[in-house]
Amino acid sequence: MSNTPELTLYTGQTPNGIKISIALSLLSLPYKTVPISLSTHEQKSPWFTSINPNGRIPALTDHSPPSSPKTPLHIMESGAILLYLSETYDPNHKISFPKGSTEYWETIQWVFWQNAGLGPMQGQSNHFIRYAGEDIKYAKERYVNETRRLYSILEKRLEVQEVEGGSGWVVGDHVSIADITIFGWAVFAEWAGVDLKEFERVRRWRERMEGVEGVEEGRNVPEPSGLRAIMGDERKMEEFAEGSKKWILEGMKRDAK
Amino acid sequence: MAPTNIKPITVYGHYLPFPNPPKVFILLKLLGIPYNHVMKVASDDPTLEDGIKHPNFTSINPNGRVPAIADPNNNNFHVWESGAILQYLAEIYDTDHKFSGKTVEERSMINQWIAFQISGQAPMSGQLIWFSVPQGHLLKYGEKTPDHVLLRFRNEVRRIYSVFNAHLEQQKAKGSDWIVGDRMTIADIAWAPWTRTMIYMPTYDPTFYDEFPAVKAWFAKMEAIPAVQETIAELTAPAPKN
Ligand SMILES: N[C@@H](CCC(=O)N[C@@H](CS)C(=O)NCC(=O)O)C(=O)O
Ligand SMILES: N[C@@H](CCC(=O)N[C@@H](CS)C(=O)NCC(=O)O)C(=O)O
Repeated sequence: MSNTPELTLYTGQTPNGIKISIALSLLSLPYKTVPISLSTHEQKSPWFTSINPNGRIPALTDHSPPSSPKTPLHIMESGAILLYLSETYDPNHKISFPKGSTEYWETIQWVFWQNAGLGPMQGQSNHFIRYAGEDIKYAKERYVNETRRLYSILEKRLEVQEVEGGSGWVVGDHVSIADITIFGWAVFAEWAGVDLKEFERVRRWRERMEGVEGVEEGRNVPEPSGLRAIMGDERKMEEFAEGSKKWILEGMKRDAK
Repeated sequence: MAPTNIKPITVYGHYLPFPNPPKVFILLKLLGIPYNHVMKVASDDPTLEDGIKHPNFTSINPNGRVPAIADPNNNNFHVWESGAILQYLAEIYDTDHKFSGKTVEERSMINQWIAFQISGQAPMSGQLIWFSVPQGHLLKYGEKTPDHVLLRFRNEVRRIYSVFNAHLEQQKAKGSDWIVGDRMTIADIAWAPWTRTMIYMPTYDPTFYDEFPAVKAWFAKMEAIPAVQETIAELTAPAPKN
């Protein structure tokens, strides 16, 4: 890359937000952080929906994208952002694999598996366990179990990788956006009612991820996680949930209009 | 167009109303790629030979879902997750980028709409349908779905279509009928089948899309495409004999 990229990340201290700051840290890319205040619904404000029409974080602006450097490019959806960063700013394949290789396609499959499966289902677990404000047993069971099913798929994948490939990573022989995107959610597994003691290989992989240089820095954007220190302490977790519950239920009311 | 001498790609799929396999069929037809359809049985039983959880299939798709493909032109390479399959087929067989992005910018715009489809439209519509059909929540607990649950998913689905509608309106203002740029791409192919799936809701309200005129207009265009019509015909299950 001849010029230093000019990137702005719109984010929050959430599973989908930290994926991008972790990827940016691992790539040692400079960027500007714009924290979005979810609790005051800033994500739905016109200035932000002109960047991400879906009104969610993360979003990324590349002020000088490669083939049209004069037109800023706004990207929504964490999966699309990770694929863009790999294609544009990872020429040495630090967190990706050469285009067209088997590992390249495997990476896309696992990134999409997270986007389409783990994220939406773990997100619903969070909702019914922490935020719904009503005790809906069937919904809790349904989403916790589906989330557990998805972690069991990851457990098997890691077994194949370890046993057949001698690798500790989701794809190929090094850390990639497939690990990063899943890690964003795995750090919050217990919050969603999933104990990773049930998935030994996933638990060890999560620890391995924590040791990767850049991960610690990236996960503390825009600020360190308030949840991290209290994970496991049910009483404190309940208190913590109250903060998010308010804006989430307000958000549902807004959408009902 | 697609190169010649392509060996048929194996598609593991299912009849409608399964909304993810049609994405793959539509693109294969548009690209003129031959394929064999292997119909899978949607069952959680891992001993069922044709089932999606049998080891003979989870060795192809570890997630045990359709669609998945095996490409004999590439060492029988397996691809799963419909969004990844669209990208794979486009990358390998759509060498003129008729339906895929020509630049990294265009590819990222296509990707973001595919990612929103697979993480938003698909799972949230799926939950809404699940809680609206009798064999979903009701049968298991013999009780009415709590309002909170139904409203949550109904409103989230509406929110997603309103985002989609506003985007299509903006495209229209730029003179385009499509999601990205000025031509149909794999992003449109990704959104179409789930848009149609709403009609399978037992509580389907035919006025559902009235709120979203740009979605309606876009979908009418999609449905008129011969590859889409052929896919619907091919994937419609034969009527049960009585
Ligand atoms: N599929 C999206 C999901 C993004 C998402 O769920 N973002 C959450 C934070 S983790 C959000 O911004 N929620 C705000 C809201 O729903 O109002 C992605 O991967 O980027
Ligand atoms: N509007 C959201 C607010 C909560 C939210 O955005 N949660 C995120 C996680 S921070 C989520 O579940 N995302 C789902 C995904 O990433 O697919 C809701 O009601 O669920």
